[in-house]
Amino acid sequence: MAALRQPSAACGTPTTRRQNPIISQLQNDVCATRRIVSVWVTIRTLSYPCGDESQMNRMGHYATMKAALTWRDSNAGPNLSGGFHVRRPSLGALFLGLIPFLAICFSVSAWDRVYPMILGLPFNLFWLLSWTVLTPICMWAGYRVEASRTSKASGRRRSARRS
Amino acid sequence: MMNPSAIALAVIFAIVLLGSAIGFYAGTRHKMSLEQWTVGGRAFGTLLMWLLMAGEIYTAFSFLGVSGWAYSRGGPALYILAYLTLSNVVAFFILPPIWDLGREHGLQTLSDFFLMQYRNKYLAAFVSVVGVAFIIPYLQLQLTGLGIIMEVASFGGIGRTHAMVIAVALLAGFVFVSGIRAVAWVSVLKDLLMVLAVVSIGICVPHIYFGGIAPMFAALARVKPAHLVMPGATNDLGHAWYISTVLLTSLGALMWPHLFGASFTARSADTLRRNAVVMPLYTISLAFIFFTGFAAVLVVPGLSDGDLSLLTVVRKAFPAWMLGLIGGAGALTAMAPAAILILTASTLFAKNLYRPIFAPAMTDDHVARLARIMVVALSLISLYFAVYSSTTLVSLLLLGYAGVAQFFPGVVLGLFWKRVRMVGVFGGMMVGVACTTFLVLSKKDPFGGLNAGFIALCANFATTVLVSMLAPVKAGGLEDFSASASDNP
Repeated sequence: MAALRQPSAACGTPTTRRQNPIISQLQNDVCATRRIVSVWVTIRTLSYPCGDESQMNRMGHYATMKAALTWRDSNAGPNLSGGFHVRRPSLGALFLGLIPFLAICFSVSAWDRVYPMILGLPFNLFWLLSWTVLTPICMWAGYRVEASRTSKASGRRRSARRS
Repeated sequence: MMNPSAIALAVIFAIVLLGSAIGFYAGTRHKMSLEQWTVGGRAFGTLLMWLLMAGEIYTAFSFLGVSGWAYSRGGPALYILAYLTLSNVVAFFILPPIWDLGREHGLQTLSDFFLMQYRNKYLAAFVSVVGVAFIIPYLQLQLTGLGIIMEVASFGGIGRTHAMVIAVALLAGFVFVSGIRAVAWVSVLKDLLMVLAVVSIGICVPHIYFGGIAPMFAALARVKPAHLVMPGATNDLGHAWYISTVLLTSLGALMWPHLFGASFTARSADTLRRNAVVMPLYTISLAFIFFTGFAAVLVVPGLSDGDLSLLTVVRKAFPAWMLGLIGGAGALTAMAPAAILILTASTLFAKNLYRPIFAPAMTDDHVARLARIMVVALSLISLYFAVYSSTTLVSLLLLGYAGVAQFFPGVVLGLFWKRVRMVGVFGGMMVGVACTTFLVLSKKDPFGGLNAGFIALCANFATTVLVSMLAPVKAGGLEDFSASASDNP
């Protein structure tokens, strides 16, 4: 099995940019079937919110899984200044959070008008007030997305501890 | 029959005393260590947390300043509804991870966070200086609000200055004794009273003078249609200003050292997340303040100071005891946030500025004592500013926001961007603060139709990213980065 290629200046590879570990792993798999299996293992690994080394040994394809996990956790751990990083929020939740920004910040010239008056309020006031209710709905959906992610992660951790 | 100003003032004082009594009581039940005094032992649940956060966001500014701007500026005041909603969206994403790190590393203040992320005590001290400096306008806002309430309620009998002196004494007293728990419990009373007061005036005032909210807006749209949309009664606060201001304030809202600190009082990261989901609903109560401000345009036209508009309308429309009740709610609305601002600023000064730079050997007990002395000093400084300078409440708030928003790049890039460097953050923050100070002091706000603080924030972001990219990586750094570092030897 090909070892995971470490992108480093010491090994002399003239890389101009840090390589995505998954792509380097796929490049290492010269044979087509291996490549397909690697893709499958990558998808499977990433679909688990939390993985550890013992699971990887059970499933085989250590290097592929390691690459997938390296990619996933590339944001965790200390940064260049010695501080701490956290996992980025999921894209789904970020997208849901973008909706209120689009609706009540960037689109101001579309709704900043007096008419039509709705419920007796000028249109701009009505629009902003309705978004004070719609924003919690958006963010509640975002909360569900984030919560399912964390509960999956902790459930996985619990089952790993049991085994 | 009793003099109306005496009735109003008696009711206000009764409410303020009740609030302070609750504060003192809450404080005496716990032994006050530094951690208890500043972050309440890190054990507030969703409800208390919600009240605390609400207590900090909804201040004398939302009570008097919002109606003041709706009265004097019109349309541009709508930015307030937008930013209060959007700041919670930002909170949803950044507060939970900050809380996680805070619990792991025992953080209490914003500067602690910077110290942990960037390992540089001068950066942390700089954060404290900037934090304390820009808290002062916010504190000044609350004191001015208290002064306005007394002035209107006493029909001009008690001067603003005297009222502010009394308020400062009371305030410093209860912060000195009881710390953050006092504030949380005063917020309970304050929120109840404020919601009651705001809804009743927002509904009653349009009813008394126009027969309802819809006829009131119809009348306003007939007489002054331009007042209801941007730029309203101003000529430079248009749509570009709106977008830049909403962005600046919604991103900057969580960078207030006191809000940042308040998030550490939560029991779990999930409490904060849930809190961020429901908080925008609280913003609805501000709609009633907008109604009052817009009604005042037609009911009491020609006030020289827009910030007086809400209370002047109330005084005209209601009996004296109601003025007292609303004034009392307003007074607590100014006092609870002012207390927490003083608390945060004094802790920042003692713990993150004085100790690391001047006296590294100080114990926690000494820090707590110094922080309490600073409570008195800071109260006096902001009292001085409140007495000797005059500007609208919203302008004071915007000045504060422009300053504290400069922490945003350092906090967010520190959490989510691996390449960020201490020099970049330090440089960016200096550029941002210098930019803000220059543009505001030279009265160039708004600058080219954009909010001056927003321009400073952009300059800050650009500097942080650029310097972080260009800064050389030290030898023996993380090997993970040696590849990317070889780009720019």
